Amino acid sequence: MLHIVCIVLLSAGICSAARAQDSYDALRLKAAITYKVARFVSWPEGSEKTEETPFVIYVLGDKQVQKAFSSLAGQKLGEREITLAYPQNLEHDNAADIIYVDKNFSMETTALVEKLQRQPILTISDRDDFFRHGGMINLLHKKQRISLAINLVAAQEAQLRISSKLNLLATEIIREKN
Amino acid sequence: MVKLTLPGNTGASTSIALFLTLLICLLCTSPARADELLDMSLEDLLNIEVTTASKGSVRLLESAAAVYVIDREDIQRSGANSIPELLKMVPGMHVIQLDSNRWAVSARGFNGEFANKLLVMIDGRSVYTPIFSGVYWDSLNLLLSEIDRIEVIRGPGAALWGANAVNGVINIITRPVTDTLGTEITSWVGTEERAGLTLTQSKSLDGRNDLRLNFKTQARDASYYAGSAAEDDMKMATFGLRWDHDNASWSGTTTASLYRERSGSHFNQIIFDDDYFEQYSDETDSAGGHFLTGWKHSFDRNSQLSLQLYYDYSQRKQAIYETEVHTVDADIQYTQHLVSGQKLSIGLNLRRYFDDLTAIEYTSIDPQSRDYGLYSLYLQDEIPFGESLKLILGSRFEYNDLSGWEVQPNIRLAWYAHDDLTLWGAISRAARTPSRMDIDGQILVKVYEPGHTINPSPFPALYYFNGADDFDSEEVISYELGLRHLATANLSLDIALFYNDYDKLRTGTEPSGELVSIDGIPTYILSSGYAINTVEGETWGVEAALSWQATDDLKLIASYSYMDMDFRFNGELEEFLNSLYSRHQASLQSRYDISNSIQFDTWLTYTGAIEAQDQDAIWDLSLRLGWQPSEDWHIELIGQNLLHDHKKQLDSEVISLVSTEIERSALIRASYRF
Repeated sequence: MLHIVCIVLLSAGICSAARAQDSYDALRLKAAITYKVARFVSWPEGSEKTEETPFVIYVLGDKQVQKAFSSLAGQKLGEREITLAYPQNLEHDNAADIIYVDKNFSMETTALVEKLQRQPILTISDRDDFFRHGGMINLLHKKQRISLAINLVAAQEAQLRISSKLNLLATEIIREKN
Repeated sequence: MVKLTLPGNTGASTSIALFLTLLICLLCTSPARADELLDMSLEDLLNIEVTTASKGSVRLLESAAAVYVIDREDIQRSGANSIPELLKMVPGMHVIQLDSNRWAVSARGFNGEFANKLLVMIDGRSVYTPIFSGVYWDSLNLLLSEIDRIEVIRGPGAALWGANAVNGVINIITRPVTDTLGTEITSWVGTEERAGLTLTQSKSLDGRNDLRLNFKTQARDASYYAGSAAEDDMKMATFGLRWDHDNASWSGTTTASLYRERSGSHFNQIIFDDDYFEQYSDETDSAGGHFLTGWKHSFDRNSQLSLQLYYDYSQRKQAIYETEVHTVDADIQYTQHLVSGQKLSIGLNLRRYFDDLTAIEYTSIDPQSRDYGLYSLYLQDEIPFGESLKLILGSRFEYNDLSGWEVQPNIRLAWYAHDDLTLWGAISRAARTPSRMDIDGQILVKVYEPGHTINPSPFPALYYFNGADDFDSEEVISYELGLRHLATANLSLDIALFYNDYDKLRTGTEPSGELVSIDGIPTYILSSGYAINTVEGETWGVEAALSWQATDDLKLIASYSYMDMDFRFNGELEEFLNSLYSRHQASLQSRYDISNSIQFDTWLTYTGAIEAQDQDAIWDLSLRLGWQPSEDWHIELIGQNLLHDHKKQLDSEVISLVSTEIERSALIRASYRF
């Protein structure tokens, strides 16, 4: 699925060319923010995950996005070591702790993120319509900076606890279902 | 004029010693670490300014041309202090320094001070002069801090960019104001780059308008000539502004600049005793400015209209002539994305030059003043076929007052074999329209001593090249193949092959001699050839670039190019004028982050021998040590041309213009941002 989407995007090079492509530095910054945000989130107890289990981040984006995130590999969150994956298919797989969706990624995948609702997976994206698809953390460009928006409703539904310290840094928080 | 030159050896040992001392100190400090962003707090991360690359820029991996992009990192870490220096990292570019300020730059051969097959643009404004179809590189005095990127496209780009994009196009793109908000002051002192100061002030006026003001002044020291300091020192000042506007329906960029530059150069006066040359130093005095405004409107997601208008003025007085050129240019472009996935573009460009030329030494120009135009229409369609093929068909139909119509089509095919592998091929035709000198000028190119194989007479022969009214455009048909591969997230490879078939290249007619007497004494032979389009031949080559992020702290960037040519030249002069190129060229850069705040960069270059001038191959080395004591400060120590005390790199193809020897140099550069 992902593969086909990539090819379509590439062959219709016009799509990607017409879209605003983030600078590599902006992508690196988003990767670092993703890493930092994770520190303010608690995943539900009781799963089989231990200190030895890697902390898995799925990165859905092109090579440049993947490269920007590559610096996270091997970093630690608590005692768990971060592993990155760039999956071809999400449908039968929920091994991830975080899924990051780049804004130039396809709609179909965003629909998959909708499917993931209620699973304890933190979803992060820089798409501006991410909350409408049930996303949890939205990174938006505002005043030449990246601002943080949090959808607490979606996070709570997925049994993720977000620290109030993170809320203090957010420019927008959704606390109630529309 | 400033005239302070350190003797080569002292300068060298001082700068190297300084380097080693600093390097040793720095190596003792903190060890390597991972991405510095990960060490910052979330709060700090949310306060970092970010930028988005400009819209419409085609991602490198996907483009179906031999493109190399010099980005901010390349600009910052190369240690370069001028634009031509940066171009040395691009495979297939021939970049040679003639004296402190003059450069010979070309793509895929045909280099020379008056190289004429390369189009250079700054934000869509052409900066090649119609006088000789080349570029005064010393007048490209942008601040390095205002350049976002330099896109170098080797091969014909005429369909898209217009006349003179025969062997390449260089697009210099300046940064949006929002990328540079705040104030930046940069200053440097050095042995060759004697002193400089740049000031940039960028401000967001309201949500929709952003304004940047730039100022730069610099002094460059003289190089080395005939055993002592040359007289080619330089002083310049430039002022620029950029205003970005963005509202719901239009976005616009307006730029303007003014500059003034005075530099020295060496000039050969022809005399008729002993060795026929007498040296004197001359002053080049140039000034200019521009105003450009460009606006874009998106009707909906799928269609966009761009309008651009500019005026450019340049004036230059040098030993051979004085030129004054006014350029007015209007450009309109419309792009439509079709449901079928096609992207159609149509554009119209109107340009008019108004010039006034005064011949000074060993030149003549008639008529002195002329105005002439260049009008073109271009069409391009990008057609996706299936899932992984894209065909690009385009052509420019151009009319110019000096040689009439030119049709410059190109066909390109890209195959996205995999999401990290692109193969592409292109066939294109481009034309180099006649310059003013090609039609109306006369210039002394060479002096042949008595008894020379070409001049068996007992008198010296002065060979003058003369323009001709019926001189036509030079043509090339170029065949290219390329591969781009992102092997891993850390390793990318770019290879391009080309075969260029040239026709109607410029040369002179069989010279006709005439014995000229001075005071009744027969003194020299005036040998005159007239411009004709009879040279033809082929060039071919391969260019490769490799970028490898070896570890978190070490990045290696290598490039290599090979080219050769097959021409049946009619005589030594014809060969000399068309054969200034190096068969092999290479560049290797290493960028090492010693710690969070300290960078150590090296850049080794190899320029192969230039046989037409018996010029030996040149190895050279630049070193850069960067230190960022705090977020606001950036301090660099840079050494350039470190492998030679002083060395001549190339002679000009015009006998009266003298090249000097480029010296080893060091400079300290500091920037402060707030």
